[in-house]
Amino acid sequence: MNNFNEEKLVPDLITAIEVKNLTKSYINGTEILTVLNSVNFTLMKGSSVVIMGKSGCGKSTFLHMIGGLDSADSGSIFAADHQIDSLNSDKLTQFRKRHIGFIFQMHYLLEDFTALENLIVTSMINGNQKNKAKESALALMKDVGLLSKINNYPGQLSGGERQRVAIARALINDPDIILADEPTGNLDEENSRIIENLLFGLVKKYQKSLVLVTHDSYISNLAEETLILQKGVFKGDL
Amino acid sequence: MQENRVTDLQWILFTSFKYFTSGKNKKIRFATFPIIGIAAGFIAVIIIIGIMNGLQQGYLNDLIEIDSYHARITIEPDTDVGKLQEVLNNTQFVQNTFEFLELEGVLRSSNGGSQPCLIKGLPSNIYTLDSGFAQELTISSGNFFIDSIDEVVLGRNLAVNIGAGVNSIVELLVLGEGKTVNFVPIEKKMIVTSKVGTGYPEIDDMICFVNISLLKKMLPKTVPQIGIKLYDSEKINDFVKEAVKIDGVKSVESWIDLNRSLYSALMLEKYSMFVILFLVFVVVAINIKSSLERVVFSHKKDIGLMTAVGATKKNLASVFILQGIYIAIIGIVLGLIIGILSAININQIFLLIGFLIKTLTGYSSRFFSYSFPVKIVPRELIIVSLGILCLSIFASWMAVRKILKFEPVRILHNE
Repeated sequence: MNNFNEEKLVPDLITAIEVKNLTKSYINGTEILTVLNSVNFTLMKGSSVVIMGKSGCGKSTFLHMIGGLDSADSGSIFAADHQIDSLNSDKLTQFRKRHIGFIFQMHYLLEDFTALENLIVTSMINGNQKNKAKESALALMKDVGLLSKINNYPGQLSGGERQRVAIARALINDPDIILADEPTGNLDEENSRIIENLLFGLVKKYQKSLVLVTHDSYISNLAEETLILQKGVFKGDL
Repeated sequence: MQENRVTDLQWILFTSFKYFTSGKNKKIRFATFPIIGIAAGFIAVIIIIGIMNGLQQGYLNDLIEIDSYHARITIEPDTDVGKLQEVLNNTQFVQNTFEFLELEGVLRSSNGGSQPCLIKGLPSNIYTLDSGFAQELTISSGNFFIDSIDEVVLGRNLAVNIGAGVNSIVELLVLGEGKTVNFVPIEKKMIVTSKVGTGYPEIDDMICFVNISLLKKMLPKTVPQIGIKLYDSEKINDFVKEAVKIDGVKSVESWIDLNRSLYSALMLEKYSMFVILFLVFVVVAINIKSSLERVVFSHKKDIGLMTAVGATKKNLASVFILQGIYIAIIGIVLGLIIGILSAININQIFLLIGFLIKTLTGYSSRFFSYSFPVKIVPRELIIVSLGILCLSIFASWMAVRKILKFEPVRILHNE
């Protein structure tokens, strides 16, 4: 195997994510835009938090950073017992593969693959054999109520159905943490409620930690905590 | 680590094959032109090189059978030629050996026509002894008899040029070896028993065959040479290495040495054709590169997503490089099948083309009725196939290397 495990810290039995003094700025012409300003954040294992805020306030950036997709200017991020800000590109890829499940606003399903194959290939990327991947994928498709549409291509699914496949895909590798970036952003209210309830139900069922970024205030009722990101810092009852 | 590689390979193959076969976003159309390009190029290579090999082999083969042999052995003086032939015949490479002598002279017919000629002295039973010689020689008239020292067989053009026919008397003028002086002019009247053709004017213009006993009398100090026919002409170097060690062998010239200028010209012609045809594949490779660049660009979102869920960029690059490999393999297989079938039936194809042209335009050409010899060399096809594959992989790599620079977060943000 690689040295990935060397970065693993002493397992913390209760903390899923711990962010300390996280800062991220963007240069916009001559202006420096600080979207995250010494942010601190903690999420317990098996719990869920909703992050809300205006567009462009840095919610998605924060989510991408704790998912190892983006890097911080300063500060530290501990997630799934790893200090991810010290991992190189290859190790970050390994980290994402094993510990993080992403759900995006756009479903980002692979258009050339059926719904089931979207799950299978994600599982195979994580090193699973195709048969085992198919087994897990079928179970999750059943969980999201799409067993009858496993052979449909994304183009043959409704927006809500695509997002349900995306949720199943996020869970296929049994990650510790689910990071959802406005998963209902493109759905109507009825479908949004279905997706939100499904997501929170599955997170609870599989005992995952969830960080969800949204504009939808209804979701805050489902989460254990709600934070507002404003002017680069969290405001709320952490 | 090994297990990781196997599972990585599984998803890479699964994904690349899915992309390649998916008709949903027109991958088949992206692949169609490069596949046709490779197949068409390969068909052209197989046919052209097949015909060139056929002509080359046919020409060289004729020369070897009639004139140069696979090897010519110059022997040491006072060597027992018969015993040496026996030793040579016992080597694993040798099919047959023949004693021969060559001499230049002038041939004059009774009606006054004369011409320089190459006189080849051969054993009287050469026509039955050497099946290859008999096969390549076409008898225009008479019978190939050189049983006595008074008989001569003339090259077809030589006979025409001096105005000699079968059973006519011709006079042979040569510079023979004297007992007290080096050279003495010798005149010998002979009867023409046959006119023969090889299909090659440069031979038919010059050659005449006589009994070797005659030349031995004319050249008493000259030691005859031994002509060697091998089972496999490609084994010539092995034979030469072995032959030079044999007692009584002074030197060995191979058919490549004897026909070097012709052989080099034919090889140069062949390699030049390879270079020209290689350019076809370069154009196809550029086509693969630009096609794959479009494919990579159209799958940017997928690349970003798969990177986010843990695919390494190298593995993702492999997914798209495999598209290029699939293109190459399909093109090569199609090219091989159609190319070999076309090459084997090229004469029928030419006849059909000739017939169609004649039917449609009224124009007829002997070219289409000419029978081209074709020789397909598997080794050459393997080399060309591997070359196409390498070129396709290189072109694919050039197209997909940008993936290594993609940042998933930027892609997912921009979508």
